[in-house]
Amino acid sequence: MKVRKIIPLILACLLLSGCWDKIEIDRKIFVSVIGIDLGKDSADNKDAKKVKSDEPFQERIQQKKLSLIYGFPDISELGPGKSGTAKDQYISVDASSMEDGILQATGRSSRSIHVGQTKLILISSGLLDQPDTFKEVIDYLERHPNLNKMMQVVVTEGKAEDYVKFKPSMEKNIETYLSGLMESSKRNSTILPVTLNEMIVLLDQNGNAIIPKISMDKEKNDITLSGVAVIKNYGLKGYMTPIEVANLEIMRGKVKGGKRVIYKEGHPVDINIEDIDRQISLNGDKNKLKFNIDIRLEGQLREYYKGKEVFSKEELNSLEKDFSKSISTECNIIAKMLQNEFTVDPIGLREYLEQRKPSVWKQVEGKWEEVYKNADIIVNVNVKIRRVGVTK
Amino acid sequence: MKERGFISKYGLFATIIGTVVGVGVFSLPNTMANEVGTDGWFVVIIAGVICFLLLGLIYRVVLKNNYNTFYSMLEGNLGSILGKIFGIIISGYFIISVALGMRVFAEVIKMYLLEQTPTEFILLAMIFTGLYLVRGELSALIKFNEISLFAMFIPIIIILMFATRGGYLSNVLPLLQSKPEQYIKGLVTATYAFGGFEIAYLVLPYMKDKDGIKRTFLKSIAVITIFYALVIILCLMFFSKEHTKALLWPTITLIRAIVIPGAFVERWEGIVMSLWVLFYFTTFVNMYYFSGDIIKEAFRLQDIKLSSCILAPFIYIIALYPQNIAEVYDTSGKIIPILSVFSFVILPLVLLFASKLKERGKKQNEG
Repeated sequence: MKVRKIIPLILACLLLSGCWDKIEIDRKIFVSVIGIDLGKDSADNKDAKKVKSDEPFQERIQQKKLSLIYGFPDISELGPGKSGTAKDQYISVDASSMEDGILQATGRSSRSIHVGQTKLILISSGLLDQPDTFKEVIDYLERHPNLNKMMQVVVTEGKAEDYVKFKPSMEKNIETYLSGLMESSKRNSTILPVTLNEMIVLLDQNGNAIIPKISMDKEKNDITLSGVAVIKNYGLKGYMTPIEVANLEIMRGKVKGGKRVIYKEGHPVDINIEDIDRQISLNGDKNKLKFNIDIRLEGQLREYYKGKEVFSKEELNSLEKDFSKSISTECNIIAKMLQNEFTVDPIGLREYLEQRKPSVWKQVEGKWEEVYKNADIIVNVNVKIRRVGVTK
Repeated sequence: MKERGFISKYGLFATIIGTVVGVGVFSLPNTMANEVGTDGWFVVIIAGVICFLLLGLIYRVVLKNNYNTFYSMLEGNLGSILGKIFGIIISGYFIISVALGMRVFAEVIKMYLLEQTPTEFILLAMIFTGLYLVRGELSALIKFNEISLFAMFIPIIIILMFATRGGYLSNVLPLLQSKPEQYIKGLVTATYAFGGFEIAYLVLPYMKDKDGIKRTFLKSIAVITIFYALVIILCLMFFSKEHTKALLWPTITLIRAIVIPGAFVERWEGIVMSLWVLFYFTTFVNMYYFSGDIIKEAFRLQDIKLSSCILAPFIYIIALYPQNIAEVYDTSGKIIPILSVFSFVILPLVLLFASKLKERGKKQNEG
């Protein structure tokens, strides 16, 4: 009796189970890196603007705004007994939008394309020059349910395509190389890794963001992380060099390592930053805001000069003072530059006001840019050398 | 009323939590961010207190009526015609909210898990599974709630623990910066998020132990409130106020964005998404059972098996009625508040007054 009940159940499971979403894994392409470049018709938007949104055959416009490249690992290289990473293969297409790109790429491959595994997105600096197109791309990235929101975002100097095709000497593909680079660069504070989620959140707040930039050295066949791209209102505002980024990181209070150097009597004195603590306070009223940023840096002395002894309170104090002064001045200069040149606020003063001083924020909310430009930012860094290594 | 008193306190606890926590939690951080900015978690806690008071009201109603079942309470206090109307409205409220929730759920599943599967199929599979459980009568339902509570909350708490990485607690600031009318509006919306605690009407008559029910209420509402507040805070930490406002289902986006450090499992959202199935399913079957129970008694049907079969097509039709996801939220935003107010406040008050009047009438007759 029981068997008679169970058999139809088993049959039902076998015959009626939903097969709409069945795709064999070997019929799939798992895109691991997407490069976004401006396409050849990016500048000319006339046709698209002429069209009314209810006209027929709008596909005919075929404005190739974007040039996309999808990199994916060659699955045949993966398998038991082989290495964990594989060389990349590419599909590159000209497309009018991101979604169109996927469609075009599907048309060129024998397998279905899956972007849920993407680890890295490369945005070319050219794209950032066109805020309108960049906004379209961002909307796509935000809206897509399956995109991995924790993937790294990087701005490339020049065409993103070259970077996707780049063969690093250490790793087999660029996404492993870059994510490793970011991971290790966390320690030297000249780079700020940014995930897609962080970028979207920053852009949603006021259209400004900072994204790490990479550049290529053709002769040495090298890719290096070289500072950050500053984005304002969805457009590229400028770049910051690694040194500037290091100072910015100090002002943001987010340093997780890295070294600072001063020269004393011609010899470099290196310290390693181990801990940071940032306090912001606000003086002044809505007409003239005065921010005091007090930073305490803790570090360890790494290198000095044979024969010089630092194992005394006075000597260390004088070194600390020199470091403090040097870094403070640098930070003040960078803060000025951010205010005047970029008028963006990656230090987080806006967030500080909004979160900690809401009454002031309500008064300046409407004209924040102007208020920020006129505000006084005084950075005061206090370096503490806690350890000196194992020699006197 | 063959075997009265088989539900333990834990059964009540699990049933209330299972019924209240459903698809609402997907979009709750978004609605709260839109209404009160960063104060959502705070408003939700107040809403939890309100819901506890409302539950206390229900308790008094049930106590006054000597732990009678819901429908006999309606009939006894309001007469058979008015009782029938009330019963149908309440059961309609459950069916509508369950059906709209099911549509949201099907859309979420379609978006993240089964892209090509037709919505109709997802709905049908859900309804049939629910129907099967409901046909097992109340004791099976309560047992199911008891078991699934662990299956739901243990994994989700572990997952949310990982979510604390990568967010900034300062994003939850500033506190108390919205206008009073925003708070009132937000409070009302937050209270709707607790819809479903009326299931107490169904469960209370069958309690094994009639003492300490209020404590159990307090515990269950506290768990729900903490869970809601936690989810809201985590979404704010992770996405900040501005981006939370833009996301349709911040909770799901949050869980998909979590990275486990040194992960040996990557791309594990599939597991998490199937967890949500349980969250919705408990809401669905409990409310489904309750409305089936009301219909059964109101129309003197043989048993719940028949009435639940009658209700199933309604759920399917209402779930498919909205044209798109925006309309789903629009419709539920229009209908659910009215029905909620009716079932949260008006119904218990009416019942309470009616039973008081009856008591007085009895005393006068005696005197």
